Amino acid sequence: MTKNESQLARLCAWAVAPYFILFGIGWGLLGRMIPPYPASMPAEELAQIYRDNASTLRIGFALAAFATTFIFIWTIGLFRVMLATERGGKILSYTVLIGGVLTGVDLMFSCFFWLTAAFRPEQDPALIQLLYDLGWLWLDLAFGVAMLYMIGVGVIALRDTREKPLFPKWLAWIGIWLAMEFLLELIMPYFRSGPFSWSGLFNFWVPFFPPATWMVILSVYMYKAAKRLNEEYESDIPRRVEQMTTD
Amino acid sequence: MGRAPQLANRTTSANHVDPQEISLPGDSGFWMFIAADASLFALLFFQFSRDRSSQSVVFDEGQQHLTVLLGTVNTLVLVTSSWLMASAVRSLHRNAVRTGMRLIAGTAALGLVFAAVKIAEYVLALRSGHTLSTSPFFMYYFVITGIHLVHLMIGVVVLVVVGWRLRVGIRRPSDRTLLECGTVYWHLVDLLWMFIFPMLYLAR
Repeated sequence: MTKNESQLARLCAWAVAPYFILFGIGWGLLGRMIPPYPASMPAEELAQIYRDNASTLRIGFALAAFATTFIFIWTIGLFRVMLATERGGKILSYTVLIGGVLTGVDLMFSCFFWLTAAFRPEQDPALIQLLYDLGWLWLDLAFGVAMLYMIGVGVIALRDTREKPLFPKWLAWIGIWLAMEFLLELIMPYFRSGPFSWSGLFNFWVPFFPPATWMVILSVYMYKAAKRLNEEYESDIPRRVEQMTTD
Repeated sequence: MGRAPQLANRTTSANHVDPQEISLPGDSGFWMFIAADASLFALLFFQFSRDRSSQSVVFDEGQQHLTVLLGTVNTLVLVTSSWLMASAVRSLHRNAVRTGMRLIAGTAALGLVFAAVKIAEYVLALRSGHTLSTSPFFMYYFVITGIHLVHLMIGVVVLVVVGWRLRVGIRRPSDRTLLECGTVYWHLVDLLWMFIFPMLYLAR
């Protein structure tokens, strides 16, 4: 990895900070999504909340939708680091690229559904509820795209044969486990309340906060990896120059 | 008869054990996977117990619809499979590859027996009108045993891969790691059932 690319990749790793800050404020705080309203809430009650807080909800979801831009930036940096880390055909690196970008798209679209609900909160409560439901079902059930990049990163990291691997094996295994754990979302549509509903322990707290923490830790190692990949490149220059002169 | 020098465990094949060489079996990072997985189940068990204590009548009523005999059969099947797997690893460390392969095949076969019994139990429960959403007890029953069944099927696939690698004679150091990780994982599947069975079928 050249010096310039390494610097840009490290900048991309930093994109995780504005993403979590903006999304946390927009989606979590202003959008009132931590924790979300339960699926069992009557439409009238939900619509009343949307009417009472329309302006903060609008700012919140607009900000959160914009925050996903930083996931795209982050993914591009991650992709370049993965390309340099992966042995062989680079197919997994492209899986990481596609998975990361679509994870951003997934988050962005669900924010638009909630934003639409807050845009005309005076309308039929059933429509507010419909959009609220759509946002959650969309966000939770599109977990497959996040699986792509998390398992991709995991496998690339595990296959790294460097003496000191660029990414720790435990981080890779945790990523693979967290991705598999998303499968619990498959039963989410069966419940409107309880621990497996979208506001419950197993389909809200567990699949949201541990993966977010993992993403932050991954960014730290992505930063370090970009640095090391540049050092590998620099130390390899004399050999390449020699090869060129002998050719 | 194939020989697998790379599969021989350094720490157990020699009489002298160098403390520097003692390490966890399998890939050390894999233990984080095991720990995370065990924590999720711990959380499920905790949530189950909490809900159970607040609605003990509903839970006790639901439990009466389970067939304890089938659960007991499956417990015996899994304990036996774990024992076969441990024997397989011992055989492979002695370089008895053919015996090891047979034992691994036996383990995978018992895994499939467990799955078949479990699916029969599901069919029985669904036929008598119990689903995910009929009662909190059956919600936990289907979810907890369902996640466990998915774990078991992944375990069977891993065992088939391990067996296939041994059969075609691919003996890389990574195969030893795969064997050890697979064994650890299989024991986890067994261990989890040792908690699930009494909790769902027996505890009142």
